[in-house]
Amino acid sequence: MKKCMNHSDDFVDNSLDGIYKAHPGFYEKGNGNTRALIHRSKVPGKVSIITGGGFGHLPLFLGYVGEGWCDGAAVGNVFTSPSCEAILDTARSVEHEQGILFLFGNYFGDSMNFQMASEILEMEGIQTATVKGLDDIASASREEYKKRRGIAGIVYAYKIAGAAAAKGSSLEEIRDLAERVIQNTATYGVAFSSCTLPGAQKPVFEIGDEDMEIGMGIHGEPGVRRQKIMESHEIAKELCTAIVKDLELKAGDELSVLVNGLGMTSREELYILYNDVAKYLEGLGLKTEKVLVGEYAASLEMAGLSVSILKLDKTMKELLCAQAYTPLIHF
Amino acid sequence: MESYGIKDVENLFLSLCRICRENQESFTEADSRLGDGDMGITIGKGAAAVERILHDREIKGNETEEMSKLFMDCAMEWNRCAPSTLGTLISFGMMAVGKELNHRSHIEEDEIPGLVKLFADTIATRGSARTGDKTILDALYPYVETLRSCYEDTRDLSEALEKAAEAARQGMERTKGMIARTGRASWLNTRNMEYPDAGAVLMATVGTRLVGQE
Repeated sequence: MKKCMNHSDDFVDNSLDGIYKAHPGFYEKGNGNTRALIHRSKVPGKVSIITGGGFGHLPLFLGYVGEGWCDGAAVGNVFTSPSCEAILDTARSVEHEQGILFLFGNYFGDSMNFQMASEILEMEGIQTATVKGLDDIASASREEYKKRRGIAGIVYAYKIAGAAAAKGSSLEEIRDLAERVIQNTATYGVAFSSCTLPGAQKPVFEIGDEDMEIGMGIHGEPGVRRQKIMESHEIAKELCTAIVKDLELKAGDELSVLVNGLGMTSREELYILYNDVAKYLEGLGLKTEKVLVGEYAASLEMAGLSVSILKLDKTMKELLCAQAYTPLIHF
Repeated sequence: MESYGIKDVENLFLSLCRICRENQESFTEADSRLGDGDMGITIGKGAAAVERILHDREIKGNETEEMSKLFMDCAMEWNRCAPSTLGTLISFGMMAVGKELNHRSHIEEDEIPGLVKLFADTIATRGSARTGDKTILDALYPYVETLRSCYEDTRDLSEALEKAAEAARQGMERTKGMIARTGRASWLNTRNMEYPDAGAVLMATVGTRLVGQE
């Protein structure tokens, strides 16, 4: 796989250095650690929200650090959890007496490293709470949704929790709100082609030219089934049917819809799919209040896309539309 | 009964690190059958990093330090360079042992089997796994059990460590043919089930090489 890079060992750090150089004054290194990206340190009276995860999903995770978003992101190697040290450097650089919400995707390595960091911070007298993204409906049933993996839908939790923190809500309030958002978010996707880790000889998984996999995870975790590629309106129906059922959506419900590209699928294609998604949802009498189409959580150069739906309530709707800024995405 | 100080533990860690580095190729090979093949590199990086900080300590001469600090420093350094799932679990294990020893500067010989058990129990709890899941625990728990029973019978730590290493090897052999029930390997279900678990290979190798066997 051809990639624009120098040595593959430096893939993450070279890319991060580019981000610091491209956005000087907006992003800085927490405690001098390249892997601890922060926006502003120590804002008085504000709960800090910290995320993190493996590299290779831009704009996830660090692209959601900004005004009205998260305060910092700990960065790991490609598709690998950040170290506990990176989390601690991020946390200690931003926390200002109001406590920290750790908000990250539900993966084993990340969960353990964030857990280790919370235990150390608690010993230092810093209060923490943890909420995990659990939106991938292919990874477990609704009954067992706490076992689900976190994918693109975490974007909604970032936005809403970030807006609540900016307004001065308490750690407990923000935690409960983020949990409610995640409970009401469902994502389902398809993958058309694989991606290759920097320096690796082979792609993460193999998939035939004519095939697609429904429900594949963003690190190549096996999905629900593999089959011949479908047309956009069929994909839209397949994905939306499952999401509508999962969230028990009914006519009149208000939603936000996110069509997310995995890295190699063009915006043109994403809008074709959105057109089909919109028709399907309108047909059910559902009201879409906010639409996002673009790359929000990628998987290196994987081809494919996902649809996320958030079922809105009044509070969420207001916070979802609050002013916010980060240089890496439009919202 | 033998008593072990900070220097002894540092030397033990240096031996463990050397064993990890010298065998990293075999860990990579084992992991590429069932995992994503990064285990050798991860373990090698973690070991090299811990060797570096132990070397720095030697230069500074931190002889009067507490066990908890030694274990905590090594655990954090290991985690910084090896934050993979297994790497992080090993850090958790080391931290738990450090916490247990707290401000002490010595370990008594008869405490060792219990400390190794604490290390194993921490990995099991944090990793939500148990024996039979095809993980490091399938070699680690036979090691723990044999170390305890043999030491109780003979009060001879060297002999107990040798017997424990043999038990770990047998445990690793038994993972051949098991279906993985946790981690990345579980996605493969029965595919490549004839290969041993890479974590169990790590444990068997470390146990064996620690008592000077091949």
